[in-house]
Amino acid sequence: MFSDYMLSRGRKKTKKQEDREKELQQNQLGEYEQEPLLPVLADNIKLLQSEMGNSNDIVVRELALEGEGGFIKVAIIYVQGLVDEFRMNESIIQPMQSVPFQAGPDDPSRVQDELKNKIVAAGRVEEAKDWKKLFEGLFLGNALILLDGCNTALASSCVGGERRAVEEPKTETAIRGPREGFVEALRVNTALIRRKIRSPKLWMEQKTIGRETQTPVCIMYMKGLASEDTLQDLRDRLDAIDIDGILESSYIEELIADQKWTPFPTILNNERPDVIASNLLEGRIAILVDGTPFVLIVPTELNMFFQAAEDYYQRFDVATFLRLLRFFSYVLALVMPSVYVAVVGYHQEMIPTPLLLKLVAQREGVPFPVYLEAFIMELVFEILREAVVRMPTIVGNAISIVGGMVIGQSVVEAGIVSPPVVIVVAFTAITSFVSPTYNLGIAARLLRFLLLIAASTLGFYGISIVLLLLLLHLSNLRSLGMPYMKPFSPMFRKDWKDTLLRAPMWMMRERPQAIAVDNLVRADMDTKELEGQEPVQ
Amino acid sequence: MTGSIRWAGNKKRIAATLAILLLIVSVLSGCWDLRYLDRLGVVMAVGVDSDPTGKQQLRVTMQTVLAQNAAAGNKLASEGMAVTTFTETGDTMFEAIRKMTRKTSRRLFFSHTRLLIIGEQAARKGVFPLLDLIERNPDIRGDIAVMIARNTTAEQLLQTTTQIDAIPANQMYDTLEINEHALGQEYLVRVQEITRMALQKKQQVAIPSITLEGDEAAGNDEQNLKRIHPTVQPELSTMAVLKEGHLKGFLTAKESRGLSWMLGRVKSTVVKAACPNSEGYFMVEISGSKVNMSAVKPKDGIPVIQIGIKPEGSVKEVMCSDLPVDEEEMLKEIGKLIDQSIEGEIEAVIVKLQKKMQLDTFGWGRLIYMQKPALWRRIDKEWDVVYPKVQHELKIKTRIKDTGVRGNSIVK
Repeated sequence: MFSDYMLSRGRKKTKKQEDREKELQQNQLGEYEQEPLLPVLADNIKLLQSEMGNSNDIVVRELALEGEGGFIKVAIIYVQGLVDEFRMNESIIQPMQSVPFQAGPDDPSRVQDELKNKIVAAGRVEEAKDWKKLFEGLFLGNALILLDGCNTALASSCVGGERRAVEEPKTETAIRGPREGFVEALRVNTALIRRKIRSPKLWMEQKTIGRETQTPVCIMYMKGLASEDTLQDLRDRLDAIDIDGILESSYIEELIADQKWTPFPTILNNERPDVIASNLLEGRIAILVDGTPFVLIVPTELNMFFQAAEDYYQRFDVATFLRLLRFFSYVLALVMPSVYVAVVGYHQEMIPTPLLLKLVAQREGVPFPVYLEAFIMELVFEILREAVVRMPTIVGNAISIVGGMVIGQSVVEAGIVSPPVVIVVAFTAITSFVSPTYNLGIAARLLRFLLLIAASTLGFYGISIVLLLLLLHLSNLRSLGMPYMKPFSPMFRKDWKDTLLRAPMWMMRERPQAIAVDNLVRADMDTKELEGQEPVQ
Repeated sequence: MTGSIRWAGNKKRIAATLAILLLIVSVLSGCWDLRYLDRLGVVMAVGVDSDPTGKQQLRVTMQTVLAQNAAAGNKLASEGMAVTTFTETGDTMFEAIRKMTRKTSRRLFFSHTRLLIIGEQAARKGVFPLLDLIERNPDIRGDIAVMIARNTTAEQLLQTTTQIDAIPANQMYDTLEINEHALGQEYLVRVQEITRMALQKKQQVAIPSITLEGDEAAGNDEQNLKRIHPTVQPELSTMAVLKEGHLKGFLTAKESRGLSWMLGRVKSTVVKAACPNSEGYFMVEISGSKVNMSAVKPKDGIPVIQIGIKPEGSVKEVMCSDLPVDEEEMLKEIGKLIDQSIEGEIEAVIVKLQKKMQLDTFGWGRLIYMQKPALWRRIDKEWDVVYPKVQHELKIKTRIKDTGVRGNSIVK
């Protein structure tokens, strides 16, 4: 069904658009893009420097090396800060200077071969034949070696520069479980996953997205587990992205999402390698983007947002209890203020008499109607929360003190807001923090206001209308063509073992049927059977 | 392609229209049924008397909570009374209630009403007309308890301050519940039960009654609360019996519990019996009782009702010097003594209701109708004549489960 959609999207490229694309591409790298290098070294250096506007961080180190029958003019070009200069000295410059070349300046291509095969002591040396490759190599942190008389350059990898070390992830901590989290560097991240899944079946595909940023984006999946259709779908969608920059995986998340108009996140992100690994083993696909620790997982289901990594590291009974608690809290976070408004505004007969009398007494003399009160307090809380998140931590403490004092004490004491509303809002706030994934929590924050409006105009009737509409909307959502409400709708009974409940490991012998197309058996399997199984083509 | 684009355009338009419609609806509804909590006068009890001046039919009293005083622990609470009453006359309940808006600044709110007190005079005129408003109105609960004000007026009762519970209606209601669960002399009767019995037309209603103990006039005063022993306080009386909704009289305490036994309304109670071999009494606490009434084949066309009652209980107080409760045989004897006590109560109420007042409060007519429909068809027309002649066979078998945590009494 989704392929139809993709086709129609492909067809939409009219001639006008194609022209515009061409124009854009020309703007990108000038006329040099696909052209080969010039034969004279000095010209090449000059061209490169002028093309880059003589930027200071481009270092050009010119050398004259002893060769058979004369000196060979060589230039080493790199971006300061992207290259480990110490390593570059050791692996490129020192070997070049120490031994005379066997070839001479009259045969630069032989010199290049010698350099590539014998002298340069780096793990990866590639030949850049045109300017596009040259720039790519330069900005990925390679040192370029240009020879006089040679119209190709060598790109020798000695990536370096400052980087954050692998640390415990800040957004999702676990009491038990691995303490490492992804970092900004793509290669470190892929390695972190490789360290978890030591299998040749863990496949990786790399793409470069972003006209200017040229951001490396990597798709990782388990060959034979991930659905080929979904994979192709994902490739198509990634290829369709045309944007100047990808600065965070959220760019990709938004650009490849099935439904753009929804408060619910249809793609899960996570910064824990163990979570990504477990999802890969379920047959899902990970999208790693250079420059961010947040890795995307597709296809995503609503259910996944309630699962924490720790669910699998604690005993199943505890994990089940915690999951139910989380789900319950999420529902509370969603509906509590509106239920309060509905009950107090419309359905007073539902309140037990002593509680009603308390509420009446508390509301005595409060100047605002209850829905306005709830609305104001919710808004104040959202403002406070945003302020605390955006402020430096030191100031944040001050905000919480002021917020706590103003809201908790003064407003109630002044009789502007009734205490029950403060209790409801405060408790809602706590429940909204229980959600293990941040972006689903934000959805609840938005929807809470919608529900509040419904409750204040129509009471419980309004709440049920909105909740029904939400259910419809959720059932309508897709993540990479897969229903968002799986395994509830459409129903996969076998997958329920790992939804609201977390069944013991020994009961979860099969991968989720809804995701993995083949090779369902996860544990307790016959090894021979596994060997005989051909990967899905 | 164009089709899909047009469809997408339509979709957007539909979505926009829907959004606008929703917005309009939410504004138009204008908070539709919204009631502000602080604009409600929560009515806890309704009292109905017949108008003493005689100009109109009824004199209705509402006991309404003053929430700021009633909610304990509230800082804003002042020293005032927890409730206030509004009284108004009218030919119907609703007329009187709406006339009260002349005195209240708040909308009277009946969803939490627990108690309907009917004055003796009004009850004699008829209870059924007073219940229609409660049954008909969806905002008023059908499970309101009904009581009859004995030797006083409902207005007087609702204006009497109570010490344990600041809201008198709560105290009266809870007293009734406690009584039903611990003594069984009176039992809770709800509006919907009365309506159901009235519709079946085969069983007369009994309603608990409540009275005032002490100086009635002192009730409507804070001073009543400030004394250790209040000058006046509400006190449960006995069950009142009605005929076709009209109050006919009151039972004695003994008869009242007899009625509870018969109707299976005894949940827990204590039964007193005289010591078999010495002075004094001992008590058995009944923890449950099963009642089985059935109509059997008539003798000479007169139906016979078999009543089997099986109470269970344990000896909880012994004031006898010679009652060896640790003997197995003794327990059976105690059971028989208790049987006699209960039988006395039941026979008393049967004599009173069947023979003297000729009121079918036990539901014997309904029993025959259910179990012996052929017989009922024959006697239906002359049930009023047949009823006093109906025979009954009473069998009581009390089982004594234990004698408490003490063996023989220390009484010598």
